[in-house]
Parts: sequence; C-alpha cells; structure tokens
Amino acid sequence: MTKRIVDARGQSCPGPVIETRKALAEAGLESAEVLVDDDAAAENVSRMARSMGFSVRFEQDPAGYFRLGLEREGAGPDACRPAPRVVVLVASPTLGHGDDDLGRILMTAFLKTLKDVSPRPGAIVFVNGGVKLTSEGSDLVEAIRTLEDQGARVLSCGTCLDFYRLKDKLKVGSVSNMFEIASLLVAADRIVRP
Amino acid sequence: MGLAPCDDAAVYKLSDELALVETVDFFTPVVDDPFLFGRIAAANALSDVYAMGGTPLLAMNIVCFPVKEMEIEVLTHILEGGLEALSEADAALAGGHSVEDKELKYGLSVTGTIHPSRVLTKGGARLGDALVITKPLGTGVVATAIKAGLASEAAVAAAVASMRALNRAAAEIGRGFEIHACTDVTGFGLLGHAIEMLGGGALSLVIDSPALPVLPEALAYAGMGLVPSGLHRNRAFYASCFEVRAGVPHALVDMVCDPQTSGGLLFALPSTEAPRLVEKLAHAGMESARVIGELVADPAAKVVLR
Repeated sequence: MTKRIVDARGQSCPGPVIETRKALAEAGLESAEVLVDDDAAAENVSRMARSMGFSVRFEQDPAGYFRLGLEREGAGPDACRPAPRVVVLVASPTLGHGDDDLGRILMTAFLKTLKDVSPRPGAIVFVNGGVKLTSEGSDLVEAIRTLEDQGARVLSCGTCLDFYRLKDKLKVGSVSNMFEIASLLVAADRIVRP
Repeated sequence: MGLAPCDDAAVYKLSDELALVETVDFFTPVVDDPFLFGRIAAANALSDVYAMGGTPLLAMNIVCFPVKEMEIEVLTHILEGGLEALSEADAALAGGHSVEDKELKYGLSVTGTIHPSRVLTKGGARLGDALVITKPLGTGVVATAIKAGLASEAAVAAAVASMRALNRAAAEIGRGFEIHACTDVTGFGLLGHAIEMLGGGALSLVIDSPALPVLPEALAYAGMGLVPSGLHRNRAFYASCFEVRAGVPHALVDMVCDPQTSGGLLFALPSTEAPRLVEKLAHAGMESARVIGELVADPAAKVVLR
C-alpha cells in the first residue's frame, strides 16, 4: 500500500487537477493526500479523484488551505462513485428476438443470474419496454433489488416510464434522464445488451 | 444615450439617425493555435456590438506579448486570425497598440454604428417571453480540458468551431423578430447574463435543463473537475438568485455557470415567435440554437434550472 502527498498549493486551475490525476494514475496507489489553496480547487480535485475511483475526505487546515484525503474505493453504493466499468442496457422486457414468451423466460433467467457473474455490472439501465421490469406488475423487482443491494445502480428512463404511464409505479431503483444515461454509456468500458 | 447598469457596450448618440457603439475585450489564449486564438478573440470582441444590435465599423488591436520568450511569428498569426474575423464582419482594422508582457493577451476595441431607436438592451424581457440561445455551452470547461492536455480532438474541434463563429448572422436574423432583450453569453456564464436580462422586473427565468445545448464532452470534463475557477465564482456570486430543482444533473448546473468565450446571443422574444427564430437560426447553420426557457411572473426574480 503506497501513499502520496501532492502539494498543489499556489497552482492555478487546472494545475491541481492535473497533479492529482498524475499521482492517482500511479499503479498500486491506494491513498493520497492533496493540498490546495481554495474551495474551488478542492471541488475540482474531488471530482477528478471520484471519477478515478477514489473517495474524498475534506478538511480545512487552520492555516486556511484545504487538505483532501483520497482513498481508493471498493464497490460500495455511493452517489458520487465513478462510472461503472460494465453497464447493462435493458431495452426490452424480452431477451432476443423470436418468441416473446421464451424471450421473457430468458430475460428472467438473465437478470437472476447476473448476481453470480463477474465482473458485476456497476449500473443497469432500463429503457423503452425495459422499464416494465422495474415497475409494478414485474416479477423481477426482487431480483433487480438484489443487484442494487450488491452495488449496481438501477436506473429507469423517465421518458419511457411516462410513455408507458408507469411513472408512479416504479418499484426498484431511480428515475433517470437521457443525459445521465448517455453519460453512463459513453463512460462505460463495456455495455451489455441482453 | 447613457449606459444602463448592465449593457454590453456603450452607446453614444451622434444624431437622431446615428449612434456609436463602443466596446473592448481581450484575454489570454483559450486554444493553442495562434491563428485560431486571434480569430476567436476578434469574434468575441465583435460580439458585444452584435448583442446591442449594432454594425461593427472599425477595430483596433490590443496586444500584450512576451517578445523575449515567444517568436514574433506567433503574433503575426494571431493578428491574421483577428483580421480574418474583422473582414468577415466587414469592419476595418484601424491600428492598435502593443505592450511587452510576461503573459500573452490579445483582443480588440470595436466601434460600431446603430440607429438610436434600434438599440437592443439586456433588460426588457417580458412575461411570456421565451429565451433562445444561439451557441452551445461549455467553452470554459473545454478550454480547461485543453490546458490540462485532456481534451479530445473532436471536443476541441467543436469548441473552436463554435467560438470562431461570429454572432453576425444570429444578430441579423434576430432583426426580423420582435426581440425584447438581447445579450451575449460571456464571462458570467448563461446564469449571470440571463439574470441581467430579468432587468429587475417581477420575472423569473425558468430554464429547461434537457434543452440546453452543450459542446461534446463538456459534461464529462466537468465531471472530472476540469472546471475553470470562474465557474465556481459565477455559481457563488449569483447563488442568491439561482435555484436548481431536484434531479438536474450536476454537470448541467456547471454548464449554466460556465464562463463562455465568444458565446452565443441570448434573445428574449414572445414565445409564439421563438420556434420560428430557432428554425431560421438552424437554417443559417446554427444547429445548436434552442429555446431554453421562459419568463414567468415571480417577484423573487431569479433563474430556476429544472
């Protein structure tokens, strides 16, 4: 376990962010401490650290500057955690094309199996007919909740919920929008489309 | 004609038919290429004249140059870039002034003309108006990513294409509409400039965050902390008149606060006319033009992002 101290005081933006990025990119680095002059730099460095999978602890030194404690994170649920490496995009209540009854059976099997595979998805995004699986009447709510409990973010497209008149009937995860969904998809290392 | 507290340029009435519009702006490089920097700085300086409804006539260069550290060719390219923008604006370069400085800066003072009865001011937006923006947001964030060496080629290309474009065509198209207020989006971000358009009346501007046009990759860079300090300053400075509704992505709040270089024009006009304005702007190549919000009755007089 290695720790680095980055003193980015006296640097104007984006200097502290670049210094932090360099330090955090070092192989095997588990934690770092970054010193910055003001809250704007502290906010920017925090964002860079979180986007690289580090948690952030803030404290203001009595001398006026900010001290940021950065720790490499496990996969706990956290609103500010980095973009997941694997994103599952569920765009229909069925898996594959062919018979719809079979498609539903396969989708059920897929979502129930997902908790046992590795790497685990960081996010599961439900769009179009897929939102029927996260809403009232779906018998997969519990299975999806299990995935959420394991740390996956579960998001359902708001426009789609509106379209199917399910907005008040979402049973698991949260309502999302196309900006968030598109951001997740472009930042993902791998997108799985059952 | 006097200068309202928050207009984009000074207007001096010479006769009942003619007034002068005066403005000046200069800054440090936002892109690495000297020609493009010159071009962008000139487009930015000219923009204030367009935002007032005026026509640029003459311009003078303002140069701060580290003559000991930088080759003079760099300056030549910057000035060529500026000249290209001026010639596209049909404005003449009338000279300029340079000083030695450790940090390179370039910009122009611009003199334009305008009919005194056709001056477009910032305040004056009315109840029921829609707000139209003509360029995408995020130039400050992309410029920061460029400084950090993390901007992709595609992101730089899109930001440069937006910043180098004059606001001339947008202003000319705007003349065919009942514009109640107009300004350009620059250092105070959409937030700061939109607040100025409220003009102290009992109006609030409600911005639809999904409608905001944003430069490619700007949201991702903001998420990585590649954010100019001016963005934080804008957010803090206008905090008392800015309300963000639950569920708006953080990066879109950033876009509203991001200081813009050579940003687009903001038009307030009757909401019934706004879609037709956007259509005309898009037809003229301004594909990012959007209706982004509306003015509603509200004594709190703030900008609401939903």
